[in-house]
Amino acid sequence: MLTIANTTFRSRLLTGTGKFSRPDIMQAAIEASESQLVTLALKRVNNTAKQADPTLTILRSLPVTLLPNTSGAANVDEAIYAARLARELLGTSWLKLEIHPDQRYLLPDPIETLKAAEVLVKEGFHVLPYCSADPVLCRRLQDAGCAAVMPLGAPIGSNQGLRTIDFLRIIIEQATVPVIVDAGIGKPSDACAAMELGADAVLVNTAIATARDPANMAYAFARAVACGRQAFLAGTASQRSTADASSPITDFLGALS
Amino acid sequence: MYVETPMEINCNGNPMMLPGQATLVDVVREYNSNLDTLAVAVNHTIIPRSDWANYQLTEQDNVDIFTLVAGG
Repeated sequence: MLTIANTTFRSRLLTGTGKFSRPDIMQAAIEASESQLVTLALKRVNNTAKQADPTLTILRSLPVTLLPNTSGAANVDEAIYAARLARELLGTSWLKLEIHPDQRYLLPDPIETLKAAEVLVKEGFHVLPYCSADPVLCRRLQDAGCAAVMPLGAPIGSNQGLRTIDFLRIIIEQATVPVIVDAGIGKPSDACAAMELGADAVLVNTAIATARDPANMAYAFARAVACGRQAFLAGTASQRSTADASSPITDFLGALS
Repeated sequence: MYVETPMEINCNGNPMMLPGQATLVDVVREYNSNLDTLAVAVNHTIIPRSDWANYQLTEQDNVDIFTLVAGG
């Protein structure tokens, strides 16, 4: 079981709700993923469209914990404002803290993120910060009282996989809070690899939402995450640079000469 | 005879004319009647949902109404 902020979850696959072509497809994918922590984003209400985004209503009908994010915040003040609004709206203290001022790569600002985390933890939020795969930063976020750390595998929505794998390994080794690999996971084998490495969970959005069949892809991710976790618990065998025979080396071929 | 003086506020960045006695909930209902999907700030101060009906707006208040939408 995954435990974050004294709450336990059976599923180690967190999902995002962005980029789905239709709300019913999103719902089917979340259900197939068996995800229990699902993200959504804060937005100013469109003043012309009376038709509300159905995401929140759908998610409230599902057995999931809602994880609002602060996406769009470019600095500490905006992130804190967004966090407080989300808490007022949902009555929840769960928060995915995201501060990425640069729109091209959407890389998280480590300094603003740490400052915001320090404030929000004191305000009682369960802070899950999206952050660079920087082992020192992850320790600082952990020391600040974050409920987990969410280092990136690659830029958001890039589907490039675990480009940061060597640093993720260090982060996992050092962490005393759950490590949730977020961003860049492009296919189930990436998620499996993160879990084999010892990550506590992964967050996937684009790779599911933009797949040809999102619900089936969500199902595949759920299996991959469970598979990787099982492999981690089983203890993966060590690598060698030379061969180590699995079969007995006999000399029966030599007997023919 | 008492005549209400209309007032102008800004809501989500747009000017809006309201009767002089309008409260915050009057503005919010213009956007969405499903109030538990919204969070509201006046002049960047977050106002709890339970206070909306009694919150008297004043001229040139900046009202921001937020909701939660799909996102990763």
